[in-house]
Amino acid sequence: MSDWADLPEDIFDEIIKRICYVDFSTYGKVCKSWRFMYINRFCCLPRNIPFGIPILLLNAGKSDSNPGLFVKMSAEVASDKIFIMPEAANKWVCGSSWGWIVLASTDNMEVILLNPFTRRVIRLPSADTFTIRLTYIGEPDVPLKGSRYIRKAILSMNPAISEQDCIIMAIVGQMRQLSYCRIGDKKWTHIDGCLPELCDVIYNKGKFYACTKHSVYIIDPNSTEIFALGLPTGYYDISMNYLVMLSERLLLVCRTHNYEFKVFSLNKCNPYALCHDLQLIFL
Amino acid sequence: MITLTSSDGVQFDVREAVAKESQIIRDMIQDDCVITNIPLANVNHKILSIVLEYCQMHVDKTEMEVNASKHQTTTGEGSSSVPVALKVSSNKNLNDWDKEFINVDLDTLYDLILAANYLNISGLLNLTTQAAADIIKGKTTEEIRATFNIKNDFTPEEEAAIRKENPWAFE
Repeated sequence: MSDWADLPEDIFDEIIKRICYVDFSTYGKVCKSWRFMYINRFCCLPRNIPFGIPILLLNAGKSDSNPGLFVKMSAEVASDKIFIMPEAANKWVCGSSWGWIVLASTDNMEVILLNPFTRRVIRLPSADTFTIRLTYIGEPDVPLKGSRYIRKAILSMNPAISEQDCIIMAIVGQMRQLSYCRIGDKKWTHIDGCLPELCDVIYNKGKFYACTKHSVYIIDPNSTEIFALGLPTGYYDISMNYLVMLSERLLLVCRTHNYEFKVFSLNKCNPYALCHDLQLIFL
Repeated sequence: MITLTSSDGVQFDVREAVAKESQIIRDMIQDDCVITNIPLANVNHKILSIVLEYCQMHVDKTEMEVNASKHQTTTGEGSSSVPVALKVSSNKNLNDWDKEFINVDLDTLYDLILAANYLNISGLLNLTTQAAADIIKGKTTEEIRATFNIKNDFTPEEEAAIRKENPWAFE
């Protein structure tokens, strides 16, 4: 008699790649061994949803009456079902990675990680522990109640797999500079060495990448060594830059003031270089 | 020819191309070109014969396609659209054949998944794990347990905790 409860883990992975979210959560409840494998993987899913099941997370309303996040599952089985998550009430969504959402309170200085599927909450250092920098006019760039201090925050890995290896990197303040923390830290640590006014930050394979309108920074989280890379000359009319991972390639997408887009791909060989990528065409 | 010996000692003589559908056998043959007998400790003769049927079919189909396209080029007949059409129809046949092939009981499917994984035959692994996924799809937890004959080993307390954790899955 075959023992489906004791499927080897690599085979379990091959099967779950092929089923949708809704079936996936069902199957984490079948027995202890399936649940164990499910817990290890479920939290990683949103990074690589197997079959593009549309799941929408919406902030539920204005900050004064915000009941939390709505999760709308438009998958075939659970379509048109909406779930409210009070854990996310009165909070800004600052970013998401590996199935976790970074939330910053609109009422106080609280910053948390929430996994909307397992409903687990992890506290991060509060927003008043950021190193205070000066703005251009020389005023301290402090977080104010109700202001959106954390512009974007991302995670280097899934804290459900390893809490100590998870680094949370954030673009903060009016000056939009980088700070990071690890789970359990008492405060956020400011990163020197990037120009202010960062547009975007992402993580890929051991490195953080951040960009301003004119440059890309490659940050090694272990040594906090920073490599800066200028945009090729001749591109001055940029209004916003985005960093995107597309099938193992890091792309810098530049939006000009005329809403035209230019795409550069980052050559990861040494030395790093940005190449204008003519093959990429926007549809 | 290469001889594959199943875990229960049954020998199968197959063409090298058929055996090479398995990545591990391909690696073995490449490492040592005089190898002619390969013992497969994890696959019994019943499963091995099904696996080889799959490999044989896929090798035959590929070779047929290659020959057909060669024929087209050497004779210079027909337009370039003909080989494409031929390929499409033979792929369709192969898909139909796969569908029929994988229509097996759950014990066999389980052993086939393990064998495909052990022998590293990616096409067969895709086919079998997709079949398992298709069986799971749309079923409730209870139905999955019944289908796969899995015992519910949660305590009532654990079950209540799981229920609380994921509100939408129990609707």
